[in-house]
Amino acid sequence: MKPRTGRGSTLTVREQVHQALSVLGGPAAPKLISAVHEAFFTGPVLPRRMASLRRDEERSFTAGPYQRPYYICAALTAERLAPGRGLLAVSTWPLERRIVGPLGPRTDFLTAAVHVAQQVKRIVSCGEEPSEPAWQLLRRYASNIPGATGPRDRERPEPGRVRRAALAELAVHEAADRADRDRAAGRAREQLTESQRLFGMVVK
Amino acid sequence: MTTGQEQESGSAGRLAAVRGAAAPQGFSARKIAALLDNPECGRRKLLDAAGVDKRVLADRVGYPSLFGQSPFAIARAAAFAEIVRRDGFAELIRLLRDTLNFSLAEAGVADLADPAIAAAATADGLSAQEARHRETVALLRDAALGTQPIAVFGSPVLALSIGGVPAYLEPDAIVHREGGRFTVVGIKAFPVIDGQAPAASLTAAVKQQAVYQIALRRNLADALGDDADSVADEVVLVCPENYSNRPIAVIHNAKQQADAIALLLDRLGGVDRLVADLPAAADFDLSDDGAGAARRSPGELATALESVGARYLPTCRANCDLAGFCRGEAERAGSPALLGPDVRDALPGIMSIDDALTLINDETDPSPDQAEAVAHLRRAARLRRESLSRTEGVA
Repeated sequence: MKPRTGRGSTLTVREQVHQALSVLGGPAAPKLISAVHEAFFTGPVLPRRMASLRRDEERSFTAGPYQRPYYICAALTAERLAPGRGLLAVSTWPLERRIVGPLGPRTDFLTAAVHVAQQVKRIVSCGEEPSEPAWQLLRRYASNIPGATGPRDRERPEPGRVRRAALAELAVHEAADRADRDRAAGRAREQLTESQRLFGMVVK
Repeated sequence: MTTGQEQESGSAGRLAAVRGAAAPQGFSARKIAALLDNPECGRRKLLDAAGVDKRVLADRVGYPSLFGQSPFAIARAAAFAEIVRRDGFAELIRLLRDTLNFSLAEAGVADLADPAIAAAATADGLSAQEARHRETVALLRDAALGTQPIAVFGSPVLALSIGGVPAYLEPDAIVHREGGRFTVVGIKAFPVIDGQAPAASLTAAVKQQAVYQIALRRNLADALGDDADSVADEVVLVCPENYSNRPIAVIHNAKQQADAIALLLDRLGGVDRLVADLPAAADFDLSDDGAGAARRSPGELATALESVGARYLPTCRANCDLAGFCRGEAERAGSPALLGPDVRDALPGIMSIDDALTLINDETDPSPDQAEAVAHLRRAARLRRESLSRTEGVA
């Protein structure tokens, strides 16, 4: 029996995590995944429920590789190609997307800001009102990106402006970050097994 | 710098025997700052160096420690630290840009609490802390040499020798500007209201960061052979603003505290002599024998404690788990230290308050080493009598 959670959600935890990660477009920690699910879907996902998810997915992959359309897997640290602390990712993303170098946390944050802003904008353009958790999430990004808010839109940041500001800072990091990701991904392809490429190298 | 291997061959073996079979407690910046509040206290120095849990010890000898943070305060501190750390230290990066003029490009982050660091090094026979320390030093050196663009080092591990015993310390973060200096960052949950932090919390926090600052300077000097100007005198404290959870940065110059602590650290005598002076039968083993019975009775522990000289001060009660025991001891002896360090220092050679009172009224000549103190006492007593009789006269 697969565990089900959330207010009225009929999806499994892995499906909910997949939904939230698809909005963010990059590796994320359980608390952020929960906040995104609460903002745009059917309520929070208890981080406790995500605790064993990566391990369960790895077991399932080892038992029969690629039996599922996607796996919730790890982000890999650029230095050691080990699973990034507490980070979840989706197996269908390019390997480069799952690499976390020194600039990775920042660029993943900015990429997520772009996607969250787009999501809020989509809701607004459909003539609907985004939920309070959605505004809260957008504020969390807007308040930490230079130029993302003006003096009058701190409470309800303008999504287009947040997106432009995030893209502007992303452009600053892009070259250095891409080089880190490409290098590490190249190493991972050479050195790691298929399972390690998804779930990281663990020194025992 | 003392390494783990040197520790094993030095007094550490004997210190481990003093601690017995219980798990050691590491040094922390808070402990070091408290130790340096009363650097002459051999009892605290020995117990801290041996890694004895003073809280449990105090409980066992019948003086349960009254302080310690409430679980609510600890939970609140953890929740606030989580906000500062999440999203790749996004809140901290915003504050660094606003207050220390970090450029947009300076946003690289290193997570030194990553378990993979410890895992990779246990294979080399290092402890988790040694491994994280080695990685910290390597990354700091790369940053100083400009080969790795990292601006925020999260949960780094620094090493500092305390009276010949190596200690590993974990600041919340260290930040670095390209081609510039390293700055120690502390994440603290006390609120800054209208730009004002509570004075006592602020002082304690700055002192703690000053300890990290010294460790950072020394580690960088060991790694690069030159520490000139590489560590800023300022420390950054990240606190909640007003009644919100929004982080705000408070920049504080810690030079004075760091200089004072560095001086005390260098003067802090070794613990070797303390260990050597300990009676052979005395130890502070808090473990049980596996069947639930304690290895040492409260009486044995108290006797062992009494065999190491303490230096009780009224301020110990805010700093040390064992203060209740030492205060009880000072009370039984009627020690002048009960009245504070000023009184104690004014009465050299006089062991108790009763002795002092006897000597005031006693017409006999005091012994030569007490002469000066007794002269002071008698003069003070005369002044008091005169002033009292004058007040009575007026009344």
